[in-house]
Parts: sequence; C-alpha cells; structure tokens
Amino acid sequence: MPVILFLFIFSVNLEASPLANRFQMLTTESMPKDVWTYGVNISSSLGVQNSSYNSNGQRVSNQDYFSRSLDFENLLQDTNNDLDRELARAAFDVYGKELDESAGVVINNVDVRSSAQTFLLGRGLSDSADLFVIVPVVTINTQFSSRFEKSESLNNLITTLKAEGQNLRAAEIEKKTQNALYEKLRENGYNTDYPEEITTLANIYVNYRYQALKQERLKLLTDSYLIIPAGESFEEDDFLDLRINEEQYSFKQGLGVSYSFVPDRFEGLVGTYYHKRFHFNKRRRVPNSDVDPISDDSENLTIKYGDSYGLSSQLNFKSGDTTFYIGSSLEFRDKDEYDGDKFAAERYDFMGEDTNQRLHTNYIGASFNTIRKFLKNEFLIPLDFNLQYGVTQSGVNSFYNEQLALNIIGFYK
Amino acid sequence: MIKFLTLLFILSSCGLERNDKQIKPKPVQVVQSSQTLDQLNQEKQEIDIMVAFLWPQDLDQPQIQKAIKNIISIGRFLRSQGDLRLEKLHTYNKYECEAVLIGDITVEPEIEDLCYDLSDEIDEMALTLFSKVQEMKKEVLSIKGEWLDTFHDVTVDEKAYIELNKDYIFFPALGATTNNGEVTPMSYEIKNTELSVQPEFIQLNANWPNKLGAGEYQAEMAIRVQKYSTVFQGELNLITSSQTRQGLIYWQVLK
Repeated sequence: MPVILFLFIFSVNLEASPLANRFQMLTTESMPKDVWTYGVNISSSLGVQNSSYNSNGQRVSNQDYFSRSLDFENLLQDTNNDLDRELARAAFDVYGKELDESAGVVINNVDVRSSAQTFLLGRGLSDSADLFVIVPVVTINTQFSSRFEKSESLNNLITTLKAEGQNLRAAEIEKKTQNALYEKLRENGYNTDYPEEITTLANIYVNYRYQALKQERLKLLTDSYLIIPAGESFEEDDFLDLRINEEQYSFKQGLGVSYSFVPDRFEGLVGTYYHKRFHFNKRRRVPNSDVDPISDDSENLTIKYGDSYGLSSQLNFKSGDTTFYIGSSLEFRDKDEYDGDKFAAERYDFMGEDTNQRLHTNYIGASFNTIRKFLKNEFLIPLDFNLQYGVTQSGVNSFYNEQLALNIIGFYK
Repeated sequence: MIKFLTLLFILSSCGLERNDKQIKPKPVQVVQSSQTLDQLNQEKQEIDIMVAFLWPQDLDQPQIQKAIKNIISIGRFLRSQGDLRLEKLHTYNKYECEAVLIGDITVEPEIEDLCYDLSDEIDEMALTLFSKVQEMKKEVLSIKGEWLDTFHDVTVDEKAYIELNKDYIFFPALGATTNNGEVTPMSYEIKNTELSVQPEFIQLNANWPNKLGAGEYQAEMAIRVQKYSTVFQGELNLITSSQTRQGLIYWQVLK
C-alpha cells in the first residue's frame, strides 16, 4: 500500500487545443492491482487574464494583442460588393489616399477568466498498468469589447466628403466605424451573441499508464492518452471561437523518468510528451485578409490543429506524509493548417497565422495524503490532497495566467 | 458503490451551461444638425446641373479603374464649379443684370461692367460644366454603364424643377427612347418624396417606376444647403425582380 502514498496526478490540457497554464505534476508511480481511484481537480485563474504573449514573445495587454491597425487597402478588402470596392478604390485615389496609409485601429479587448473541475475514475489493471477516464469541465467567462479609432487621414476624408455634399458616403463610413464590429457581424451574417459564461466538457481523456521500469532509485513510466472530442463546439457563424472541443480524436504519448537521489526524501523527474492531432472537415469562414477574420465566404475545409509537444522537469522533497515539489515545463504547439479549394491559397494561410504557440510554465505545490493514517485507523478515508500554484513564465501567442489548483483523490479496494 | 457515486458526481457536474451576451449597436451619436428643413427653399426651384447614370454590371473591363477615377474627379469638379457658377448667378440676379444688359433699367457704370463680366463668366462656366458632363457621359458609356439623358442631352420644352413643399419633383427627361432617329425623352413626375433630418444633412428618398423597362428607380440622396445653392446627391438604384443596378444621381439648384 505505501506505493500509493505518492501516487500520480492527472495532468491534462484543460483547454483543449491551445496551450494553457494548467495543473501539472510528474510522477512515475503506478497503482496496485484492483485499486480504484476517484478524484476531482478544481482550478481557477487568479484574477482576470488580461495580458498575453504576442507572436514575438512579448507580454502585452490583451487589448494590444487583439487590436489591429488597418490601412485603406484593408478597408477595400473589407468591402464585400465588387462595385463598391472598385468605387472606393477609385475614390481613395481621387481623394489622395494611399492604400498603405493608416485608416485607423480596431481596438478589441478580450478578458478571460477560467476555472475547471476535472473528474477522474481509474483502476489498477496490474501492479504496473493503470487505466483512467478523465473528464474535465471548464467554465470560461469572457468579456469582449471592440471599437474602431479612425486615423486623422480617414477623419479628413470624412470631413472632405461632407464639405463636398457627399453626406451619405460620409455617414456610411461613420456608421460603420462607430459600430465597426456589430456592423461587420450583421453584414456578414454572423451571430452577434458570444458566450459571456460557458460551462462545458473539454473533451474526454482515456489514459493508460504503464510502469516499464521499476528499480530502487530509477523508474520509467509511459503515459498514453486517447482524447475523445466532446463539449461545446463553435460553428462558422460564431465570431468568438474558444476552441474547447478538439473536434477530432487525437493521441498523446508521454514518457516520464524519475531518479531518487535520496530514497524517500529527494527525487528528480523529467517528462516529455507528443500530442498528435489528425485532420477533420468542418465548415469555416475564410478570411479576406490577415488582419480581419470576419468574412462572408465560408467553405467546408480540411483542418488540422497543430501538434503539441513538451518537456518538463520536477524536483520532489518528501517529509512524512507531505511532498513538496517544484517544476517547470516548456511546451510548443505547431501552426493550425487549413485547406480548401474555393478561394486563393493565401486566404487559408491567414487562418493559421499566429496559431503556433510556446508556453513556459513554472509551478510549485504540496501534497498531503492520509493513507498512512487511514491504515492506522487515524483517518476516515484514504485521500491525497494536492495544492498547486502555477504561473506562465514566457510564451508565444498564449495567455499570461496565474492559477491555483486543488487536487483531491480517493482510493478504494 | 464508489463507482456509482463518482459517476453520479461527474454527470451532475457536467450539465452544459451557456450564458450569451450580445454585441449590440451603440446608439448613434446625436450631432446637432447644421441643416434643417426650414433652410430648404420651399418654392419651385429649377434644376441647374443634373447627372444620372447606372454603373456597369461587368467590372472586368480594361481601363475601368481609370474611367471610374475620371468619373469621380469630374463629379468633384461639377460640384465645386457648379457652386461657383451659382454664386455668380446669385450676384447676377441680385443686380438684376438681365434687365441691365437688355437696357430695361439703368445702373451705375461699375454695376453695368460687373453685369457684363458676370454674364461672360457664367456663360463660360456653363460651357465648361456642360462639356464636363459630356466627358463624364463618354466615360460612363465607355465602361458599358448606362447614361440617363437629362434636359442637357435632349431637347425638352420645360426645365426640371423641384417643389419640396409639395413633395414633387419633375424631370422632363430622365432617359430617352430613339425610334427611327426620333428621340423621345421620358418625363417623370415624382410624388411622395420622403424628407428626414439626419445628423449634419437632410435625406431625401424617392421611388418611381421605370418607364423604359422593368423595375423601379430608388433614389437615396443627401441634401446639402449651401450659401447660394442647394446640392442633391446620392445613389440611384434600378431595382428589378432579378437584380439591383447601382448608380448615381446629382443635381444643383440656385437658392
């Protein structure tokens, strides 16, 4: 029974496809045969996640991360009607506006607060093999706002149009820019609703663990996941796509090694994983430009979310029934790929831009279990409590996040 | 038992919930309109410069950008020079130059000289303006747009006019048919126009059936009251059951 004093922690990507700070802990232990385990992990971000790492790895406010500068060429690309586009192109030229001149900035602000409850049910199949089913349920609160700030050049154009009596054209530009997002969503047939708060499954994980090597000091564990897509799925008419659902079955293979420097006191662990994702078909909007994902054009696309992979290390210090640990992980995710044949190839490439990710996370925590006390009849049930604080250290195209997580696992034989 | 409880725990916690929020339009900022319906001259006003045409359906033509740019540039010229001409015409009328020039009234020599100068300038500007209208017509036709003849293009007995207090517009010619070389202009009497004050301008909407084919015309125009003239300009759409053709309509009247 002591083998489960410091057993295992489930470590799943709670927010599906994109990389995000989450509860993680390396272990190379396995459960004894015929032992059942059940547990819950509750995690919540600390405060509002209002900053992100951009494509250069700089930490910027979410407002800066999601805002885009627009030039007059972008305004043309944004015009659905061919004639209107040609007329606007000619008008910009006649009114002395260069196409690469700034027309303004779309200022989007996205504040996200997330929490998750992850439920686990597992069984020791043998002394070296375990099987678990892990069901994460996430709650995501989103606050979204958008406005357009006209450049001086666009303001001058509006003033000139008014002065020349072209008030309808001027009014049209003002109406569009005052309610830029609303007008664009409406014109392009999008839902203007977005989930302010959503609680949903975030896929289902079937996890098989096999302890391939067990020596006094050295242990090796392989960790295989089948990820079954489940939970809220966003459709082509939704303008805010939270990517909770993996959309397709995927497979994740991990490998962990531990070495006990001082038995039952100091232990070092390293782990690695590769998450392979496969193609699937889904109808999506195909953007006209790299600055604006909103588009009238849609197509049934072949989509492949990027594979992800990572490396982590951890140091454990055990003291009686308590284990203190500190760890760090570095993860990468490849670009998403989109493919179709109705539109110009570059328009599919726009969809994958800035979907590659890097995330460096540090975590610290302590676990306490009651198994020894339970065996001595000093505690009612055998449980393992684990409290962890995790924080993103650096990243690319990912949210900055601080998170507190509590993990409670019970055992039964 | 534990298995059952755990499963129940999981299922009870997995109820999907979603509270949506909607992106809503912000209320349009209220700008005190500098234009009011009172500013419009409610009496019968003759239409001076007038242009109406439909853009081509096929945009995939050589030189179309150049032609569109030229059309827009000519439009700007017509507006600015039209204003200037009507300003001079206003002065011409103020000094009763027509009567002065035919000798019905006698004025000081400086005023008489001014009237001669104004008469020459107004005539010269009219020639320039109308030649520019013809240049615009040529460009519109060159890209397979549809030019709607006005009283400048065909011979008509009356000039076009507008009476806003009666919601009435009269076009003695807006398009024409030609049979055996004989040109017949299409005249339109447009009633039930709709006027509304918008921030910074007045809007005029009007619909009338097309006499030369199927469908109806729909005009959505901004009225801009200026010092000496009132400018009406906006979009002219020809709407049939199968398509909408976009176009442009523009005219100016002397206040």
